[in-house]
Amino acid sequence: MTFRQWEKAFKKRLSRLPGEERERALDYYAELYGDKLDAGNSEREIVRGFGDPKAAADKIVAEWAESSSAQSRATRPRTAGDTAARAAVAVLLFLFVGLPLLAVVFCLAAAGAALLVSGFAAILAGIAYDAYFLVQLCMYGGAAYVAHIGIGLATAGAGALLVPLFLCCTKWLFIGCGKIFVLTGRIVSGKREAY
Amino acid sequence: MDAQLKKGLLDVCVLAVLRRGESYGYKIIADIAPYIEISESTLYPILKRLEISGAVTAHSREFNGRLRKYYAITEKGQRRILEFVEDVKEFERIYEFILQGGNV
Repeated sequence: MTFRQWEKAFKKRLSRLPGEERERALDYYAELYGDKLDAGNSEREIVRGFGDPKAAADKIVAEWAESSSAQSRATRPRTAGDTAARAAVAVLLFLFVGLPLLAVVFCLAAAGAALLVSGFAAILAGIAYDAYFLVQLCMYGGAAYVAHIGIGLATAGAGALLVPLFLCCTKWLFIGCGKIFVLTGRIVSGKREAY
Repeated sequence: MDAQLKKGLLDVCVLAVLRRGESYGYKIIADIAPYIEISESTLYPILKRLEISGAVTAHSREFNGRLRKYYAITEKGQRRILEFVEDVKEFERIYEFILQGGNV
């Protein structure tokens, strides 16, 4: 393959580039060819060193596309269409991601709160139960009431034992809810950035 | 060598060559090649990127009846080399840390 043939194939493959970029790339290789020729290399050696013209062109086109895309992301002014698109995406994300996640988080938080309350409720229920049957015992006497008092004490005791565990579970549930919020926020802001 | 790492290194290598004085494509490749692998297709986007970022300037001059593009380093390019040197110092500290198996 001669350099002219190489250059022709190279130029054809660069057709995707704007005119100025294409001329710049062609000038670059033409200059290199001239310098290598002056340095004593043969045309065949030079062309072999340049490699496949299509591959060389594809590399240049890929770099140009990447840098153009990065520049347009950085400098593209917002248009009304962009704002409307972003608003539409935000609404859809809120409806199909945000709302269900809020519902899940609310339910988890409610479960956590209920768990915390249940331990104390068991204690209070046990105490109330004891109080009632203590009064009954005082008024009417009887072993049955003593048994009931025992049950109340056991309930209060179980509640007291479970409160720390429930406290821990509630804490982790609320931490989990917080993490879900943060993750959702990241997903939503990531999607918005893409637009 | 990792492709992204090499890409960053090549940018600075080109700037280092230009720090000695203005140069052109073929000579830049010849000066860098003994130290790190570089091809014509690799140099082109590097020069373009450096020019766009303001690290180098380019101008054409006639040579042997044809035009040759010469590149010269700018203040920004000089600062980029200094930043790279600082990065390497930090890299050396991390390298020592890794070499010692994560022990301080």
